[in-house]
Amino acid sequence: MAPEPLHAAVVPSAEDDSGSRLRPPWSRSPRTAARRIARPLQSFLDAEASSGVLLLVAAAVALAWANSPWSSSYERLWSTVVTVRVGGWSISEDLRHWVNEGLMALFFLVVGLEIKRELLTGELRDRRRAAVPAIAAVGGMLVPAAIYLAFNAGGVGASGWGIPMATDIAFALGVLTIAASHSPATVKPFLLTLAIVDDIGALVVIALFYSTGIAVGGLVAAVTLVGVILLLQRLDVRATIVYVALGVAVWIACFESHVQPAIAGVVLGLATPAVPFQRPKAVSREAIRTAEETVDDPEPPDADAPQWLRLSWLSREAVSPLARIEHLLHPWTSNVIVPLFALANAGVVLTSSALRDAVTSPITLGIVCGLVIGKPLGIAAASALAVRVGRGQLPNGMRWPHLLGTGVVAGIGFTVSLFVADLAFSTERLVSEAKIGILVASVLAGALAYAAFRLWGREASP
Amino acid sequence: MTIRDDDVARSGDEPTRDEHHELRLPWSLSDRRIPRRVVQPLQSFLEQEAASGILLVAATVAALVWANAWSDAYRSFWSTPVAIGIGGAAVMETLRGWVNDGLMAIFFLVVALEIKRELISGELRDRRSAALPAFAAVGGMVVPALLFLAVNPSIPDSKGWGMSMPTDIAFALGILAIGAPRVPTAVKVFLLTLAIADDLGTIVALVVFYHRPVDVTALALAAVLAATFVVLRRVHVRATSVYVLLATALWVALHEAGTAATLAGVIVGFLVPATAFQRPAAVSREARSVADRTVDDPEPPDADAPEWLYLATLSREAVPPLARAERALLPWAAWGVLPIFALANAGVVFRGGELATVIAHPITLGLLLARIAGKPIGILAGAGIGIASGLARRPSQLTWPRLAAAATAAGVPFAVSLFVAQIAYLRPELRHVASGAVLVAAVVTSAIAIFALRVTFRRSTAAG
Repeated sequence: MAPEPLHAAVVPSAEDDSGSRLRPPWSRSPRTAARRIARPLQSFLDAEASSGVLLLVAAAVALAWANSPWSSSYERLWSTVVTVRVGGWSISEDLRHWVNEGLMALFFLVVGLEIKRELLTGELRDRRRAAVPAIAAVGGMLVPAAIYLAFNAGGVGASGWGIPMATDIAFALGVLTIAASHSPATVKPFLLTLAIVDDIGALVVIALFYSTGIAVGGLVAAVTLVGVILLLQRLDVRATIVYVALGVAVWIACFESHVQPAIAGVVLGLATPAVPFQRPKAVSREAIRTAEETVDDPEPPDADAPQWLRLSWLSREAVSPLARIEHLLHPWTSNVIVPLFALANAGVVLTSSALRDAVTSPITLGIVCGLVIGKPLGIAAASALAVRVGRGQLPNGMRWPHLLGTGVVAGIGFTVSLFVADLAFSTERLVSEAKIGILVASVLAGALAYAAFRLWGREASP
Repeated sequence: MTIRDDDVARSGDEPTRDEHHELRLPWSLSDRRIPRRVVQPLQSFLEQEAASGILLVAATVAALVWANAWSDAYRSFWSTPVAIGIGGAAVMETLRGWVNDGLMAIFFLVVALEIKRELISGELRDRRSAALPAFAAVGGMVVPALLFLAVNPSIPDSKGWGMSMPTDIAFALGILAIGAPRVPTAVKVFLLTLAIADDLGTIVALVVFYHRPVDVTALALAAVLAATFVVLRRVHVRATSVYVLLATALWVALHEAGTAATLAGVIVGFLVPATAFQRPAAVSREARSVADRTVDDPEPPDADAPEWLYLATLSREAVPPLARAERALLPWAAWGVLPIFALANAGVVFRGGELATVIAHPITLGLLLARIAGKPIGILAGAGIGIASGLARRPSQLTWPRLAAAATAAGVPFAVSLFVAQIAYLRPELRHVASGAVLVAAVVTSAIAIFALRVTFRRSTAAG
């Protein structure tokens, strides 16, 4: 997602310094396993589409697993309860929810970082331009909800109106990355902003309409902790461990107050400083000084350790915390956490009777129509309205066909839709109908978006 | 646990205040009131050699006050169960257990790092110097055990002989820091190595003589994990997270095996490599070229991030992992783990009548004799035999009076002895007496050791 894949950063490599004496780590060494496996794997993971591919594979594996003869092991694994208990207080969740609410908070942290970077220095620096995707997101939430209610008003499924409102950021961006290689670069940040606004909207909906009640105490604690973080930043406290501890505390406060911990991640991401602590020039001078003051064979062997560690410290401070955290977490969230999430959540059991029920169910139909038709309709209409009334303009190079394609991609509701479905319905049958609707809609939206970008994306490009 | 004067960690990690005025100072070094009045004085206090000893004493006093004034609160706080459970399996310990098994593993890791550094480039580089504490440790285990058995010859009282063997590293070092703040490195290293050696000896004794059930599968798993560590090191895998993960797994395996989980710290400490990944000269060249390649105001602001992070990694790799780990963990071990350990364990409740019963009991008598007389005699005898046989050598700084004074500090029993008391005696009343005996012996031997160290080192400093 980063314009420059930071995680592909320079690592001492055997090739590019043939004449020098830097020693490569295992992954860059000429050993067979490193050469044949680790390095190809690394270049695959460094490629931008890897996350989308891994996500699709994980979802497919989950579906296959849940419908295989070993389906019981799927449920058993993901409902394994993992507990952290201190005296009378405990957090006890099944493995699936540790992924959804724990690991995914890190994913949302990275999302928050990316949004902040885009807002400060990227495509979204122009607020008028950021306004359009935000308004589009609102349209893309209202229209699907209305379509869903048209099918279900007054029925048993009426409470599921929040399900088709969501957009799955990871899936949508994955499909976009694979399909829209010929589209303008601005499409992706547009979708990212839209999806984030959509997500925040969906989480507000969850909080307001689907929560058994947000505990005010925990919420106040979380807000206070974020305030403390901002204050410490102002004071120039830089120790990472302080912020890690506070971040974990915010997560726990959100968890305890039934606020989606994903919100905590986004907020913490947005609160991360985007300016380096040190001027690069000052660090450059220190680097040269350290090079001059150290020797090649100190006695004792760690005599120069303070100088080197200081230089290491300063070089890190020449990079903004935002870029550092993104660099550190991005490979993990896109290549491990999001695929793990799909593996944990996509395993819907598809029996013939379940499918038969689903075809005629207003819930399934409402979700499919809401996501596949309502999303692009709402997004396109709201964008047109926003541009017409002068609230902004489409980003550079982005044409109406791209917008429609983006709308279709946004119809991949997947994650948050699955989440809302669990909250909205308590009967097994309704949940299953909803999940089938979400899967069908997501697959349809994905396929349509792929086709749309392949057809229109190329024509519309200048 | 003290920081050597030549590399006070803080000045190494952070921009210092006077020079390089163009560097921007973090809060802790800034001119604001709290850093100036509180943080910076605190930091200079902590940089003193005696700081960790003073903190340890303060924590011990706090524990005693807490335990006697609010005994229920003290007991229930440290017995709070803390558990991490996955499905049916769980690692469950009381808060005190987490301190003694978990946090103390970090302490043992640091101790092992120090000993390894001394073995490679310091006091113990000479094999015969390294053999001395080993001989001393054997003597210091055999003689006290025999003395204890001499006072308590018959079952069931005799079963507690294992209590007289282990040295409590944490308290021995704390006492050393209080009694002899400017102790020569040779003395400190001798005591450290001796203490590690007799901890290992006690663990063997526990397994062999006390038939403590050991889960062989978990032990085998621990061996496999340690071997994996070695292999990954050999093929130059450098990612710290991999090793942190392995170390944690090793800790869990040893914990489940029923042996002392802190052993994981010792093993990992000895496995950390002592040579740097990169030649400093190669890194110096890269540092110059990164300084050349980067600009002061890149556009976008993160454009040079890969360059700087590359330099950050390389400069770290110019430092031996052993030195890095020691610098990263030493402050935590000395100022965090040790005081917390004392706070969790030193809260002895004194009730008039009970104390009298404990003191009069032969178990207490035997233990006192073993720890006050047996330990120093055994250590001196072991060291003497080693030197006489020509297998060990006494460093010139480690004079016989100094060795004897250090041996009294090794006489302080604590955590491991308490642990032995729990498994040696089956009858609750004997257990209670034995725990009391350990605490009484700890107080008495600490006082003797501090006195002996004061006398010895005041004289030797005056003489020198």
